[in-house]
Amino acid sequence: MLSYKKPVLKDSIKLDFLRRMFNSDSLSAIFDELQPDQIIEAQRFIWEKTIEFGIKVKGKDFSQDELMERFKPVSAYQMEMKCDYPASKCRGTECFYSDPECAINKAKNQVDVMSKIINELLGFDTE
Amino acid sequence: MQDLDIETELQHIGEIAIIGPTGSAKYHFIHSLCRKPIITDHDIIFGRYDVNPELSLFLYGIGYEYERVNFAWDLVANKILGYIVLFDWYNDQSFKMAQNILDFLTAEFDAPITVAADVFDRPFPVQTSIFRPSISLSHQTQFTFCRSNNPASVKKVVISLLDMLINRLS
Repeated sequence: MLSYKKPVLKDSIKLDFLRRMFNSDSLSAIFDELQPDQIIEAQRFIWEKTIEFGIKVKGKDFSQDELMERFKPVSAYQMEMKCDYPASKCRGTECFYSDPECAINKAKNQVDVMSKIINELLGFDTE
Repeated sequence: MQDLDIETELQHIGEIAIIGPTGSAKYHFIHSLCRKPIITDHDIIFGRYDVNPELSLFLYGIGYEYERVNFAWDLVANKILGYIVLFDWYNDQSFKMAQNILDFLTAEFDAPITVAADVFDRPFPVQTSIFRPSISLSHQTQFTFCRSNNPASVKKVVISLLDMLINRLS
């Protein structure tokens, strides 16, 4: 046994995300149960899996650039939220601590986009 | 409990624990690989798989009832190379229990873990290229699907766990 080091996001929660992906269930639905640092990690995990599944399904034809184009641009989101902060602040994770409601809302939007992409990759009905 | 004939002078033994909420699934899993699983006095399912004359795998099917967890774990935990968490993919309660088991294992042990979602005779929810050989959740845990009553499928799960162990060594 080793000394217990608490992970930011438990494997059991990642397992939940995976099950939701394969059941075509909402991924952002459980964000309300997570702390900001867990949401950051969850977003990273979901992004990683989106890339992984994209490569497994499409191989060389899979383009991360095409993926990025599906997200709302930071500038558009900031305009929508009437935010005057520099774009770099919105691209980073700082706002999860200074303005968590806004940052979490953005994260949910991005994860919903990734969820749609995963559904397409897995061949689920996206209607 | 039957006596076990362990030829330690000639053989190397690897020990793997299969943990899950359903006794029948664990039994099917071990029986798919090992000819004659034994159910011990303490409800541990034991199976032996001889990989070759020099190497055998001992598989222990262990339940996760909270009140009995200490006893079973005392018996086997210190010797385990890796864990397989086996649950019924189509059963929400089984999934919740698998999450609890995973929380326990990752908190207490550093050995590699393969979470195997059993679909039995039902279809896989996604194409096999997505989940084979496995999907990584963390440095310690990976995920795959399996059919607990299918020897080829069970073998793939065990091999993926052993691959994880070997990768850690290198």
